[in-house]
Amino acid sequence: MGLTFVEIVEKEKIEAKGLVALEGMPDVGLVGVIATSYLVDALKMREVAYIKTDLMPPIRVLHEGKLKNPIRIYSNEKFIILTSELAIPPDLIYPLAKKVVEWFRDKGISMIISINGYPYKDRLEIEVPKVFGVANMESMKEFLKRQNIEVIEEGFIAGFYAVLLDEASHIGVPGVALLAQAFPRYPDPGAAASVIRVLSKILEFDVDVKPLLEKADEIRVKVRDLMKQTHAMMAGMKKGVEQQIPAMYR
Amino acid sequence: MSWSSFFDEFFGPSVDEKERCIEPLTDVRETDDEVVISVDLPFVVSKEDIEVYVTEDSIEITARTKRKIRWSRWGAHHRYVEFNHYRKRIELPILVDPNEVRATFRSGILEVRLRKKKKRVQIKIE
Repeated sequence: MGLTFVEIVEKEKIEAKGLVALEGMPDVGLVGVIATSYLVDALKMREVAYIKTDLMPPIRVLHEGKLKNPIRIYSNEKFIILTSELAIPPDLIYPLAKKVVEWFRDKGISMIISINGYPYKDRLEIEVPKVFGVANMESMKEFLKRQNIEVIEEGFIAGFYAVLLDEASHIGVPGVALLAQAFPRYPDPGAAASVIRVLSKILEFDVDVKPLLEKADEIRVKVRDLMKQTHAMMAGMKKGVEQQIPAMYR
Repeated sequence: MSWSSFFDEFFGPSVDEKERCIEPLTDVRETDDEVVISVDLPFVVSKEDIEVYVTEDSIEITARTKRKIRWSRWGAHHRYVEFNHYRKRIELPILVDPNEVRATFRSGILEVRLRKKKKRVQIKIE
């Protein structure tokens, strides 16, 4: 086995100074994938870069006959979006998070917002999922509070977004995660809609989530296989700890 | 996870094209007294479209969708794939009493609660 590699391949010159980066990798309820896919479409964003790595299985995606890498980066004049059509193997999480964060810093990104689901076992009982926040530095905690987003102060977080926020804090890139109450094992378009509503308020853009909710059944069927892959990967990410209580007390 | 198991997961047989049947996503968990099965059934609109059969050690669920679901340009060798019902058989982790089963269907999710045969008994400490 040779050395592994993780590269970000830019398809065009990318000017991203001051833009907000939205991360929507496969995780609980596929909330990030569903939300970012919807935003890419609704905001007419274009693919500007992709991830090349030997830590993913040798799979490529075909869209309208065009060969695509499964992990791609989109952009418009306000946002950069990172998303994936395949589950992220645990071995790729650390090197990819580090590479992405450094790329965001070099591009002058103003803030990272991870979009995700928080496993909620009574999800069936709630109509509109609530969105919680996690911050990677004190100033971002204040930012969330100013937006009236309840901050998770104690507990574990696990997966790509956990490492991404941590790596970002080490190099001074501000970041938050927005976590909607979501079905632990099923795709959750309702949770994705909740996060988009919060995003559109705090970042001041206009996106109607009605079409997303109307297509909820279709989305649930389409991303079913990605949900299966993601759930299999979650065991390697120790996602179960998100339901546990930390041992240390202050 | 190794690549080979990743492939098994990714390409596992989940659509029966001949039967026009697809495997739903499922979750199995246990409480002290029950086995709780939930099944994700998008495009199923009514409980009348769902059949559930339970034995002591298994459960089988069949559900009809309100319309045919069709993907175009699916995969390298298929022009499309189509299905009109879900089917899933699950081996239960512990024996249950088939006469003590409750089922609900809300928001496209079926939940079946099966009473465990082996009940907990509180022991008096002498």
